[in-house]
Parts: sequence; structure tokens; C-alpha cells
Amino acid sequence: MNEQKFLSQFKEVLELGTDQHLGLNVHFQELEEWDSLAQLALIVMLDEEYKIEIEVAELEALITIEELINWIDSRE
Amino acid sequence: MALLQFSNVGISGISACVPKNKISNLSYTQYFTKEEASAIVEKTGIVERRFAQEELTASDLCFSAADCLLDKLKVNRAEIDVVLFVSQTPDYRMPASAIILQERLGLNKTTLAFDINIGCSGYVYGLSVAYSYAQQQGIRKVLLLDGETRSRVYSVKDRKTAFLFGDAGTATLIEKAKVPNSSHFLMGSDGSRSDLIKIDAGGYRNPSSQQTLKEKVVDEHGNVRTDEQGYMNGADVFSFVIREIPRNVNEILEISSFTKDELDFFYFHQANKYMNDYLIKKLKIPDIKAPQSLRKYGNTSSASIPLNIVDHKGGSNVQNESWLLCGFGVGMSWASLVLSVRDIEVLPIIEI
Repeated sequence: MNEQKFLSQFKEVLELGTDQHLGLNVHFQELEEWDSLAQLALIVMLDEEYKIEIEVAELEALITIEELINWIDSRE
Repeated sequence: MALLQFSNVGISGISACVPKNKISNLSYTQYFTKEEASAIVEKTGIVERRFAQEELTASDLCFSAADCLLDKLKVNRAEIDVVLFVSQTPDYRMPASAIILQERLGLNKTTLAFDINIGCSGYVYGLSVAYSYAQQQGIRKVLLLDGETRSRVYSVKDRKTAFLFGDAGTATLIEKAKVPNSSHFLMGSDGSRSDLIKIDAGGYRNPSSQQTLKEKVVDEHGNVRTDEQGYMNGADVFSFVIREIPRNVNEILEISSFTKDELDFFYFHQANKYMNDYLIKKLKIPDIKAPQSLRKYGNTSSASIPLNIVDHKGGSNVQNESWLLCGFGVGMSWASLVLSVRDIEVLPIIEI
């Protein structure tokens, strides 16, 4: 997948500004912006943009954004 | 496949009763801050709810709804052969509340009466049972009562559920249709997800004890509840619903040969605005065709579909429309119904 595109979609999920940096190694569940509503927003984004259904337990097992991207790639 | 189809049965009246006691979520701040409350209101879209006064139960709310409906439709009560009560908040563990309501409503002892315990999908399940009875030669009229006091199920100290649920009781009259119509039901169940919405204790698996009545901190957010209060894993429920429900709705549309354009209204279970908005968007249904009443009443579990119909159509006689009803939740359990509406009297909302 296109990593840059995913990062900008993920920034929208977290309601981060486009100029804010988000690296592939970020532990996204430890971000201040990550809360239960961001979790729902990510579920929606994966459903809308990638037609992927993710279980919460699967999501919680992913640490970095890179792992999330790899997980999506493995499902696509 | 749990597909049921009818061509000779219909709904002739619907009513709903809510308690007078209004709860404003923005000032529901005994255990949470104003900021937390307004953030929750913004996402859930639930501004107000009704909580039953201490002495009222779901069956009382249903009684009032039914009593008004039968009077308004001038129904000869001797013609009611079946009473069903859909609820997970009955008066007693036994006997069934439907049987108590048979006497209270002045119905004959020849009436068949029992309760149905299922939750948010319950109205459509209840209708499927009502329709099945109503097509029998020996059954004249079926009264479907559907009510909940969900305000008493969840902890006021658990932010995942404290702001969502409300109370309501409804009544629906089902009988043989005067003109041929069509109804198509499609249901499903997934017991592998029984722990997504649950009350762990107080049944016979984990009986009530001093331990189960003790308040405990249940997560890292400091939410507090007992094992006899309900919990909900919201994100998993959400993920499940947005996957399963559009599938179910599209399937019943195909089976019933109705297109989304041909249907006049879609009455979904009122879960929360975030979920309902996304469902409507994913199904590409115009907002105006999917009325929402959760702003005023919150999530009333199985009562939310008939309450939503009454909120939208109350005080009118509905002729020649086509509706889709869809309920989903605890179980997990879900059900959709596509029906042609020929002559349904919808009473204005009743308050007690």
C-alpha cells in the first residue's frame, strides 16, 4: 500500500494537523490522541478505505504504525 | 436461513409510553465532569433520556401504551388471543410478565401469553412470533408488548454505558390483513460474541451473592460496576454491527425485491448516533429516510424501534408506505423486516 497515503488517513483518524509528523515507528496506542473514539474512527477508516474488518483484540496487539500497515497488507 | 415471509398479516396500531422523568446528559455529572459529559453527548448524539420513576417497571409502561392503543382502536379485548412481552427487564424472574398483563389489561383467560427475552433485536423477533400466530385460523388479534427499563441495568459509574440507555414501553397490534400485503423477515445469531454485551452474574450460571453485588474498578479508566450490572465492549460491538448489519439489510432487500428507493422509511434500532450515522452512510440511505429519536430517548434496547416509529409518525394513520425495520445487539442477535404498510394507526407518544 501507499504508506504516505495511509499516514495522512491515520492523521485524520487522530485529528492531527497535516503538518504534524507521524513516523512509522510510533507506538500509536500510546499517543495522547489515541482514545476509544479514535479506535472507532480507525475501524471506520479501515472499513471505508480498505474494506477491512478488524477485531479490537487484533488491533490492540499491534504496536507500531508499521505493524498496522503490515497487518493491512496481509489482509488485502 | 431464518427467512420468514407472510402475505396475510399486518400491523394495525402502534403506541409508546415513556416516563415523565427526563435526564439531561449534559448535567449528568454526579460521577463525571461537565467536559466528559459534553464530549460523550457530542459523539453519541444522546442529549436526553427518560428514567422510569422508582415504582414503575417496563410492564407498567407497556400497560399504559397498550391500554391507550386498545381504547383508541376500539378493540374488543375479548378478541385478543395472544399477548407477548419482549423484555430483558421483566417484573419478576417468574412468573412471566405477559401473564400478569393478560389480567391487568382485562383479557380473557383463553389468551396465550409469554415473555420473550432477547434484547435490542427483540422488536423484530417479537413481530415474527406475532405474525406466525396471527396467521393461524384460531387467532384473531395479537398484542405485542415491548418495553425496557435499561436505566436500571448499567452502572452510573461506568462511562461506557452511563450516558446511553433509557426507558420506554410500547404496544403493537397485529392481525390478519384486510388487503394482501407482504412482509419478509431475516434473522441471525452469533453466540461466539455473547460476551460483548453482558450481565455476568445474577442468573443461574453465576448466582447473586455478596461478591457479585460488590462495586469494582473494572478497567484502567477507573470505570466502576458490579458483576450484576451490564457491560458493553463498544468498539467490538461497533465493528460487528457495521460488518453484519449492512449484509443482512442488503440480503432482505434482495429477497423482498424492494429497492432502497422504493422504501419510504428505515427504522433502525437506536444505538448511538455515531453507529447509526455510519450504518446509514454505509448503506447509502438518505438521512431523511432513516429518522432518529435517540437524541431525546437514548438507547431503549428492544423498545427503540417502535418508540422511533411513534416519535416519527405519532398522531397519524399511515397508508400505503413500505418500511424496513432493523434491530441488532446483545447476543449478538440481529433481525430485519421489510413490510408493506397498509393502515397503521400510530398514537401520539404517551407520558406517565
